[in-house]
Amino acid sequence: MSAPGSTLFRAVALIAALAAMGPVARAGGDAIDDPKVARRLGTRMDWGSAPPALSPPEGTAPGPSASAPERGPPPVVASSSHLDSERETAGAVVERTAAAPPAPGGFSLPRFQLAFRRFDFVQIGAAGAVPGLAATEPFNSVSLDIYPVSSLIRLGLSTQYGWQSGTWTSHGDYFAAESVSAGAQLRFGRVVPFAEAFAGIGYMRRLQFDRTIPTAYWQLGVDVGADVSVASTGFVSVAVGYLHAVNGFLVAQQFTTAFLDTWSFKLGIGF
Amino acid sequence: MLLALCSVACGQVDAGSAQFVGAVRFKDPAGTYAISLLEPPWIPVVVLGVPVFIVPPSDATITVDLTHALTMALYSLQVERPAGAPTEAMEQVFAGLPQGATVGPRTFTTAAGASGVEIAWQEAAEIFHRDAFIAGVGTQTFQLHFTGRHALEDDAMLTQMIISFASTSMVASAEAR
Repeated sequence: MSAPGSTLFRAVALIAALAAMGPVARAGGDAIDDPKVARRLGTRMDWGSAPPALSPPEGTAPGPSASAPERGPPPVVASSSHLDSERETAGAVVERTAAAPPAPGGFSLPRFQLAFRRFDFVQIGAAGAVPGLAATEPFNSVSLDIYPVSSLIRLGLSTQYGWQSGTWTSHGDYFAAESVSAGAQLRFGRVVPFAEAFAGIGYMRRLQFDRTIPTAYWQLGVDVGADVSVASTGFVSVAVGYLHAVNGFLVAQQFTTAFLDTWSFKLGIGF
Repeated sequence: MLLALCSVACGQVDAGSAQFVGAVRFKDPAGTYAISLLEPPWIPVVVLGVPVFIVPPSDATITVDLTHALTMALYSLQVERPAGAPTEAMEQVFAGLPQGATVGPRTFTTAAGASGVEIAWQEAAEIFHRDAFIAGVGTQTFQLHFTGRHALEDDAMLTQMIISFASTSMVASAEAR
């Protein structure tokens, strides 16, 4: 048995509790009526999909997101990996910020590449296998390729250094060239097939009879190959090219050019 | 003008099929032979009607002393006309050399179709020679006497010069073919 004063106290407390719960219950709609909760949550975001279920602590009204799947637009899958931050506050408030949209397929397109190319040229003045023809001169080259534009089309700049195979700089021919390229590429998952044309010009040192002969070098070519993503940003590249290499030099004080059409093979790594 | 520019840009000579690309065809003033030279670095010097070919060093000075010019040259070539067939002329040179100092003899065929024989040998620490003896059918023998500062037997550029050599009759017979 309880005293009448105690019964009255309980009745007043019940009314007060109902009065306090009333606005929260109505908040099952769009608005947060409790100013304190509204201040803590700030502007509401509708993710459309069910966020990780977080049990509200006792005495806290269920959050508005609980009803989102029923009324929201078609769900946009936003997994937890695409959230930059997610933390739970003491008041069971989940704060989220939207991540940058990922690249299609989850892999980025090439921007920078360190490449190795091998091709055959001719050693001017040296005897080849056929009497009278110049000797074949294999060249190795390394290049730093940059693609300022890389989408469906790709535009590139390439800084290249090449040397006569078997030598470096002191006992053979070498060249340095700057090239521009333009081509197209298309992503198929991890693989990005591409085709590009390029043109470049530079300097070639010819070593003839122990004398350095400065000459000009330029090239026109086409590469067809594929970049294969090995991580979200890295890739390896393989290409076969057809190269029109030209060497310009003085012969008895008259400028002359000699060219060779040849195949080339290119390997690269980049991101 | 545009065609000329395009020609230069795309290249004038196909190095994959043209013979002696980048070389100048030098003809003896007497009209007895012709040889292809890279010029530069080779410079033909005609003294009293006899041509001598040298590759001067980059710090060379102008001189009228032919002996001095040959001494300071990185490479030199003198064309001589020994008696007898190429093999006999080579054996005469070979006989005067110390045993073990020579490489060869080796045979070769020029681009004009003439056959020849050559040897290479060392005279001193930085004096090396390579001698090629060439004769076409019914022509006299020519001796190409090269001198350089290191071993010359495997020098592909000297080989190209030797292969390019042709006496006047060789050129005529090659053109007739």
